[in-house]
Amino acid sequence: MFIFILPVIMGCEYQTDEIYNRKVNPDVSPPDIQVIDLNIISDTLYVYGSVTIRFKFTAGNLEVKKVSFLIDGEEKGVVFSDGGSFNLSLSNQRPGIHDLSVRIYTTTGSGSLAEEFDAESYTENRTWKLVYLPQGYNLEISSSTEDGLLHLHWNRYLSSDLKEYIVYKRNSSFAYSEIYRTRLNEYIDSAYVGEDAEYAIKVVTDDNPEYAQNWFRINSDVIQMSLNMNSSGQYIVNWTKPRYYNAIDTIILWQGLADNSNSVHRAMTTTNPNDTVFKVLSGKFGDKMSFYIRLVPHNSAFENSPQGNLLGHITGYLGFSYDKDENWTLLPADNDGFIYFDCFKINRYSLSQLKLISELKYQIKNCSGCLSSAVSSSNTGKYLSNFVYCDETLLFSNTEDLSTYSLHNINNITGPSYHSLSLADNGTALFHSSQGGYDLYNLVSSSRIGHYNSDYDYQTVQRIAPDGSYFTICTDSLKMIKVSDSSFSEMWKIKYLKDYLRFYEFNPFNPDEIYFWEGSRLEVRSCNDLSVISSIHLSDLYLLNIDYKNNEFLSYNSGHLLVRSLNDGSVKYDIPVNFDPHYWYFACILVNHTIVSAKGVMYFLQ
Amino acid sequence: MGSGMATFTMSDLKEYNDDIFPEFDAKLVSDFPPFLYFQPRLKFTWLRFSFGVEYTYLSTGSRISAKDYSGEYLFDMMVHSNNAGIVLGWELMRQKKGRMIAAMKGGFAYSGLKIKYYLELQNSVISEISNNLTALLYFFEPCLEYSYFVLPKISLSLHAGYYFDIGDKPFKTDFTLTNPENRNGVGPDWKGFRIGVGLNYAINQRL
Repeated sequence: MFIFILPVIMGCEYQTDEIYNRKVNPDVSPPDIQVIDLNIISDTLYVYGSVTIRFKFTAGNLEVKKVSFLIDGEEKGVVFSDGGSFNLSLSNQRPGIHDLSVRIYTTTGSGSLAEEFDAESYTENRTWKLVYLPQGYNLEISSSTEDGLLHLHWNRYLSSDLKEYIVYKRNSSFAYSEIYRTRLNEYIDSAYVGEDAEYAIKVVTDDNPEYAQNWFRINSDVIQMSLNMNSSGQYIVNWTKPRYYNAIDTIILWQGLADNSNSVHRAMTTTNPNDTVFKVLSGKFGDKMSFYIRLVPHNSAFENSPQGNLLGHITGYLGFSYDKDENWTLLPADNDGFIYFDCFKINRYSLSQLKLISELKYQIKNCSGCLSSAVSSSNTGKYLSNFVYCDETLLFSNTEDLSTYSLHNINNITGPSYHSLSLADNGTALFHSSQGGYDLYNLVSSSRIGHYNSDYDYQTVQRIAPDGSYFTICTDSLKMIKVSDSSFSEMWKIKYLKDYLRFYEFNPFNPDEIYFWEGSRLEVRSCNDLSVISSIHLSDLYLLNIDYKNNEFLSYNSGHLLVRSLNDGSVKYDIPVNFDPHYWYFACILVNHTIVSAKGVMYFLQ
Repeated sequence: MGSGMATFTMSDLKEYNDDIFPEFDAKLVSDFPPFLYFQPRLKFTWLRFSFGVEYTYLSTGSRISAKDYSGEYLFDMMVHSNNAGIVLGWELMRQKKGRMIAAMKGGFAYSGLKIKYYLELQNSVISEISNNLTALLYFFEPCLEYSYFVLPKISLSLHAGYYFDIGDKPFKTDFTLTNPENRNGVGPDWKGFRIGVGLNYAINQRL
C-alpha cells in the first residue's frame, strides 16, 4: 500500500506559480545626449598607431550606461561609464581611411528588467572618418618671418589625443626654459630680434607628456652693414633693416677705433627700426673704425637683455670705399684713376666712373710666389710693368685695359735675377743689365734700344723721362744721361747723397724738367743744365706724390695730409689723419683731386 | 496514514535568499511557507507501550520574482525531505474509545534542494540554470497524539509535535552550497511545528 501511496505523496510536493509583476513605464522618449568632453574635434581623426579617446556624455535624466568604440562596424572596446578614456589601438588595421563610430548606450527610463540587464537601451552613434597613419609622427620645425616677428612652425600632430605643445627656448645659461604652451602648431616669439637661438618643441598627448620632441636652431640674422662716404664728404654707416623689427625695443649703434677698445662709445640710439643710416660725427679719413649694432628686444617673460644682442658689426676705414680689402700698393694711372694691386691681382680703378674698369689675374700653375712683387708704372701711369718671378717674364700692359698685356723674356738682358726697372710713358724701360750698367728696351715695339755702361749699385734709384730721352742714375751721385737714338751722353753729375734726395722725378708732361725735393724746397730744374726753373718752400715731413695735371701735390706733416698748390706750395686742403703715410700700408696718393689710401678708401677733395 | 501542516525555519536558505536578492525591483513571493506533509507509518502496540516505523515527506520552497513587458526573472528554491525513522509511544490516558499517547520520533532526513535560476529578456531566454542538491540530517520530534476509534478497527487521530534537526550538513552536489556573503554552508532547516490528522487501521487489535 505504501508503494502505491508514495507517488501520490510526492506528487503533492510544494509548488508555486506566484509572480511579481513590476510596475514599469514602457513609453519613454529618447534621450538628448550632450557631449561634455570629447577630444575628437574635427570630422576626421588621424591616428598614429593608437590614440586615447577622452569622452564625457550626459543624457539628461537618463544614465549613460556604456560607450562602445567601433571601427568599420567592428567593436573594439567598451567603457562602462559615461566618461573616461579609451585607448584605441589600430595596429591590426590596414593603413588608410576607416569609419570610427562611438556608440553611446543610455538607459531608457522604463525601469524594465531588460533595462536592468542592459538588454534595453537607447543608442546613439557618432561617426567620424579615421585615417590611420602607421608611419607615425615626426616632429619637424621650421621658421619664417612675418610682420617683423619670428614665427616657428611645426607639422601638426593630427591625432585627437593631442593635449598641447610646449615650446622651450635655450637661455643664456644653455638650459631650456619653457616659454609657451599651445594647441596651435605655431609660436610667435615677439622678443626674438635675430640672435643665435635654439628652441625645442615637445608634443604632449593625453597619456604621454613627451610623445615627441625636437630641436630647432636659428643662426643669428646678421645685420649687413656698410661704411662709406657720401657725395657731401660725410662718412655714412648704413645697415639693413632688422628682419625681426617688430620685436625690437631699441637699436643701439656703438662706435670705436678698431684697435682701441677704450674708444668704443654709444653713437646712436633709436627705437625706430626704419632708422638705418648713421652719419659718423667723429673720425678722420683713413681711421679704422668699428661699428656695432645691438638690438634690444621688447621685454619678455623669457629673458630680458637690456644690453641687447650684438647682431651687426663692421670695421672699415673712413672714406669712400673702392675696395673692401686693404693694404694695396698704389700707383697713379693716366690721371683718371689709379692702379692698386696685391699678390695675384692688378686692378685699374676709374675715378671718373668710380668703379673698377679693368683687372688682371695672372696666376701660374704651381707658383706660390706673388704675381705683382715688382710693379712699375710709367710717368703718367699709361703703362705698367710687372716682373713675374715664377716664369721669369716681364708683364707689360696698358693701364687702360689690363687684358692687353704682353709677356717679355728679358733674361738675356737682366739675367735670371731681376731688380727693378723704370718705365717711360712711351714704353721705354730702363733695366739694370746683367753685364753691368743699364739697358734701354722698348716694350711697345719689343726692341732693344741700347746699353749704357755705368757703375752698379743695388740701391740705385733711377728715373726715366716720359719720352725716354733722359734718364738719371742715382748712386753716390746723381747723373743725368741723355739718350739720342742708341747713344748716351752724360749731361751733368752732382754729388748728391741719396738720403738727402727725398723726392725727385721727371715732369711727365715736360721731359725737359725734373722735380727735386731735399726736405726744404721743392725745385723744378732743367734736365739740360740743372738750372732752377722754379722753387717753392716745402718743409713737410713727406712729399707723397705730385698730380702734375692738376698742378697740386700731396704731402704729410704732423697728422695732416696736405694738398698743396704746385705753384706756390699753399695748402689747398688739410685733411687730418691718424696714420703715418710714410709706411707703405698707409700709403696715400693724390690723383685728380682725390686722395687714395692703400686701405681701400678715397677722399674726394671736390 | 497521516498528513498535516508543517512549518519550517529554513534559516540558511532564507539568509541565502537575502544575500542573492537582486538590486532591481523584485519580490520574494514565496518564502518557505508551511505546507502539507504526508506520513504513512506502521505501529505495534503492547500494553501501554507502542513502537513503530514511520516515513514522512516534507516540502516547501521560495521564489524571488520579477516580471514585466520586457522579461521575467525567477529564482526558485524548492526543497523536500524524505524522512524515515522510528516512533516510540507511551499511552498516557485510556478512555473507552480514546487514547492519549506521548511519543518520540527519530530518524534521518534525506533532503533535496532544487535551485532554478531563470532570466528571459525581450522574449529570449537569457539564462536558465537548475541545480539539484542533497543533504542528510537527523531529526527527532516529540509529540502528543490522541486517537479515537470510530469503528472497532479504525480510528482517527490528532497529532501535534515539534520537529528538530540534528546536525548541520549543507546541501551538496558536485559543489557545496555556500552563502555568498559569509561563505558558510547552506543546509536545510526543517525545524518547526507539525500538526496533523491520521486515519489508522488496527490489524490485530480491537477496542
